[in-house]
Amino acid sequence: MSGQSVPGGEIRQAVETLDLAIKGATVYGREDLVKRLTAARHLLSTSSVLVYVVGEFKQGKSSLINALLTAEVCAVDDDIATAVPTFVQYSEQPAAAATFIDSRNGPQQQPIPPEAVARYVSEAGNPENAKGLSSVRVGVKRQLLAEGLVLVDTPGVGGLGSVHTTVTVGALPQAHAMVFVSDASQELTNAEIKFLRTAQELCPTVIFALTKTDLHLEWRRILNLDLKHLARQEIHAVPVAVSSELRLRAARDVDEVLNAESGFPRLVSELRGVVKDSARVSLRAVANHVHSVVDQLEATVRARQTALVHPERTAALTAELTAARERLAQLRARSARWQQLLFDGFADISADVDYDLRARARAVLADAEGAIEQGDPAKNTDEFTAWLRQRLAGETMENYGILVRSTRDLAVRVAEHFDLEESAIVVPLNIEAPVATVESIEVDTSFATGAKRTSAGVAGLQKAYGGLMMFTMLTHMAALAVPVPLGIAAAALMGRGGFQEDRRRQLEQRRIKAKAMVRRFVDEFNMQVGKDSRDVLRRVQRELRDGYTERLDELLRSMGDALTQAERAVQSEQTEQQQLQRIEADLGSLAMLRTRANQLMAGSPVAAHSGGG
Amino acid sequence: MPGASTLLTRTRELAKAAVAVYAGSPSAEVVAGISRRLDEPLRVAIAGRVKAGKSTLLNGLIGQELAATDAGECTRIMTWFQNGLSYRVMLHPRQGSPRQLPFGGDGSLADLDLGGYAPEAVDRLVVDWPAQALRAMTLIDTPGMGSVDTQLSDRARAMLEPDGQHDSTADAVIYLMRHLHGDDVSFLETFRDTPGQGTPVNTVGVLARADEVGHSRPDALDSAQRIATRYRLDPRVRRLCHTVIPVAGLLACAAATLRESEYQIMARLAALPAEDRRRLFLSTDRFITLDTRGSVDPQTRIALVQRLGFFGVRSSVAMIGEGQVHHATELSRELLQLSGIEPLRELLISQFAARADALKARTAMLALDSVLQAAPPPTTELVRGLEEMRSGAHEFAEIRLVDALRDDPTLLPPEDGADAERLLGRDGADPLSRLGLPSDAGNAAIRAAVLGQLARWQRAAESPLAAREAKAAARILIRTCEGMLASVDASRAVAPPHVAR
Repeated sequence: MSGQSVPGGEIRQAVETLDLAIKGATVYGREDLVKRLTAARHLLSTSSVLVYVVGEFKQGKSSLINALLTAEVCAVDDDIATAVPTFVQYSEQPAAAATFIDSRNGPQQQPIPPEAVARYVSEAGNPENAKGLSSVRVGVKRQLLAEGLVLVDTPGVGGLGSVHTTVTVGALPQAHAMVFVSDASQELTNAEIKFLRTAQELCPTVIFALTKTDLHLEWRRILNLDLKHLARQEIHAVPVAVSSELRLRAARDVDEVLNAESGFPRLVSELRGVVKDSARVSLRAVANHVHSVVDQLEATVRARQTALVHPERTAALTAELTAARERLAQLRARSARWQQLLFDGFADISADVDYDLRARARAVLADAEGAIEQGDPAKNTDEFTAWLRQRLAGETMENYGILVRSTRDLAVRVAEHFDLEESAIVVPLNIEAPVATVESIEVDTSFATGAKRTSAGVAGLQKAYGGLMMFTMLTHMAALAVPVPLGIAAAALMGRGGFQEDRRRQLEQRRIKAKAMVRRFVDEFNMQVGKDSRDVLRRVQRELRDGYTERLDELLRSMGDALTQAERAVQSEQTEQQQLQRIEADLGSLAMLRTRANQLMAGSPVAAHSGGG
Repeated sequence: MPGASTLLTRTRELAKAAVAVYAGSPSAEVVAGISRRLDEPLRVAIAGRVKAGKSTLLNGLIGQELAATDAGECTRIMTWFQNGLSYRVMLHPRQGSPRQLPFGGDGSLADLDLGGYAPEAVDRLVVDWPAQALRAMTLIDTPGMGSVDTQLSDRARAMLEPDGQHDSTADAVIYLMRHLHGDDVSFLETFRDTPGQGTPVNTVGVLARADEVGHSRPDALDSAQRIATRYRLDPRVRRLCHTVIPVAGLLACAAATLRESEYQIMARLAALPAEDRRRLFLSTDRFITLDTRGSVDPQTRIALVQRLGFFGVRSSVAMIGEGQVHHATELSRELLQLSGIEPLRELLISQFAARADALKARTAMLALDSVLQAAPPPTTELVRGLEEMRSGAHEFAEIRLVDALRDDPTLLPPEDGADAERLLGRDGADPLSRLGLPSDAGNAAIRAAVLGQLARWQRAAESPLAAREAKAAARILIRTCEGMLASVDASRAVAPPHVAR
């Protein structure tokens, strides 16, 4: 480290601070900041003092360096702009080297003849940088450079094809200072101010050089305007007005007065100041970088913190979790019992329906026997059997009505058990009364041999009630009262004859046969319809069981999901709490870094006019 | 071009029909403006980044120190300069009706009293001035792009990009640049991206403040010429503007208004001993402070630099000292020659004025189109008419072909491309320029040349090897040749008595 020495402890502290900041930036995934800080580390490890000469193209950057060193080191052209950075450093003998980008082996340096430098750095000599050049080093023997000062001529920003603009900006963190160049032909433009704002962030020591003052009558006014623009943007820079032309002429003519007029002595002394204070300047620059990085990281951390802190949400999430847990536990307890409920329910229904059917059949039987007792079964046999069938069909439907109603009630009861919504009730599918079964039961009408077969009245009756026979009971109609046409008395259907003795016995015979027929019929009815009824019940029971099992599965699944979600939410809330604690810790570290940076800053005497943070 | 007058006539008819359709509607005024504009001179905007020297160039073109100029950013209001019978300044506020402003002190707009209006409240100033240069076109001075005052830049940009409601859009643009900055390219690109607005045909690039190139050395203008040539050949620039030429606006303006008294002052400076002169011209500071033993007082010297620029004064004194010029008129002529303003004037005539009808018709159609889109008319007649003209007018086909050639240099073989551009009016819209004939070529020579070109492009259009685009280009060129042939024959019918004399 050249120039005024700085206690080794401070350097060490600076390095430590930088490393801490690098660690922090790495944790937060900020590659850009890591790069910047790593570049800034050069400031502490290098013995050279890097001063970048930056600005828009064609403002006279290369001329300024040439004039400063009174040597033709940088290529100057009216048209062609500088394309790659040129490092100008001290060397006893004129020397030059070019560094090429080699994607496989990294940067390759090779010496080039000093007089060929222009060919390498200009856009014309190296269009589109076909040679893959990354920088050029030039060595000249100049007293100004003897103490480690390295001037870097950079490609202008804002031009076309100056692909290295980003390289220039990226390299700024390792600069001790920069000279921003703008000519006196016009005040600063928006593009220049924008660039300066970015650049100052990366390199806090700025010298503002207004060039070409020999050409522009009103350069003082332009300088004033520029300083006003800089002040408005809070850019702190030391202004220097120079004329490279006059400086070169003064050197040629050895004219001290002209040299003074060129404004360069002021620039030289500013640069000497940078070299002399280089240790301080680099500490200050490091402090500035750390400050800036801390600022950026803190902004990120604070944003994250704000996003995490919300106590009312935490409470709500916990409550939600408890509720979900309870709901699921209840459901599980109930689901253990619901099958029993269904099974018992169906046993009851089955018994009730069976009893009802038998009772009805018995009543029909009684009616039929009564009718037989009072009449002659031989007469109107067809009508009688038709009546019997109709009557039994009607009873069947009533009975099935009860069946449907009670299964439905049971379904609702099960649903209520699960606390299901109405729409979620499992509805038994079609239940059909086995009217056709009644129709198909065979009737033995041998007792009515020779009897008249038909009568118009009954035919009409049959016709009139024909629709009823085909009545299909749909579950949704179960609540409807079944209109059973039982107003027709069986007796009305039995013919009344003269009761003669010889015919009496025959009649008795017929009556006995008829009664037997009726009983058989009703038995058959009981057996067939009873079976059908039981089948139906079994089917419905299965349906309900399957349906509700499915419903319950869904319910359990969704409740389980809700629970998992609630658990997860609460869990993440807990991790967030942990994160918050970590953030607090991070903020603490950042504050510590800031303090260290401040100490570094305070240790440097130039801190006052930099205002770095 | 024989087609040009018909093109304008047809556009007029279309605009008139639109006026009738939109009478009484909210768009009525805009449409009426479009129609009116067709009878007004071409509008040419002078645009560029801040301090590119737009106002100075305008003064140079008019030959009068009319627009205010200053070392700092100066032009804050868009200012129109149009030909008029006498000097008059009208202020058009954003709100309210235009009002006349009292004259500035010395005829310049430098200390113009805006009559209580803030610059932001002013839409534009319209200056009437009797000038030869303004007869063919109205020039529009604009605030610069890329100012630290971003509001100002935004306003300038908005004024150049048409929004359909504004009738202040320019027909053509002179774009000033000092060096080709990224901002320049991005501006030209936006201007070009506005549908059909900016194209190489109606954009001319000027390398301004050419006297300051290369540190204002005596060979500054040669250097500027070299840079301009490089830009001209750069495909990125070719796509954006017709050509780039170097101009020193300040020299042009000074040359146009040079006074004998100024010549005398410079003659006194030229009479100083050589060593004194050398020291005098070391820097502007030296120039105004050096003791010249009472030859010329410092105030006069300051005024001189402000008028001619440091380069102008130094060149003038050198020319006087070497006996190259002997009075103000000669010096003026030399400076004018040096300034490069004449080539720009010629370019404006050949590129803009000669195409004025096509350019105006083009602007009118673009404006009409945006009206039709914003408020569709009840019948499709207008839309159809517009579409027919846009696709049918040969002038537009030519303009499109120029754009296509600039966009894709491989469209035609290199030697064909150059000839095609010339035929399309690169060097001027008159037949002689289009055919590359000397100005004294007779009708017979013109006719022969046209027939030669016609045959060449007919061959190209039939060539089985040519790409479809190349054939289409050749067909447009055939029509161009046929048009020229018709005009040559027509002029011959009138010509004989003229030639006989």
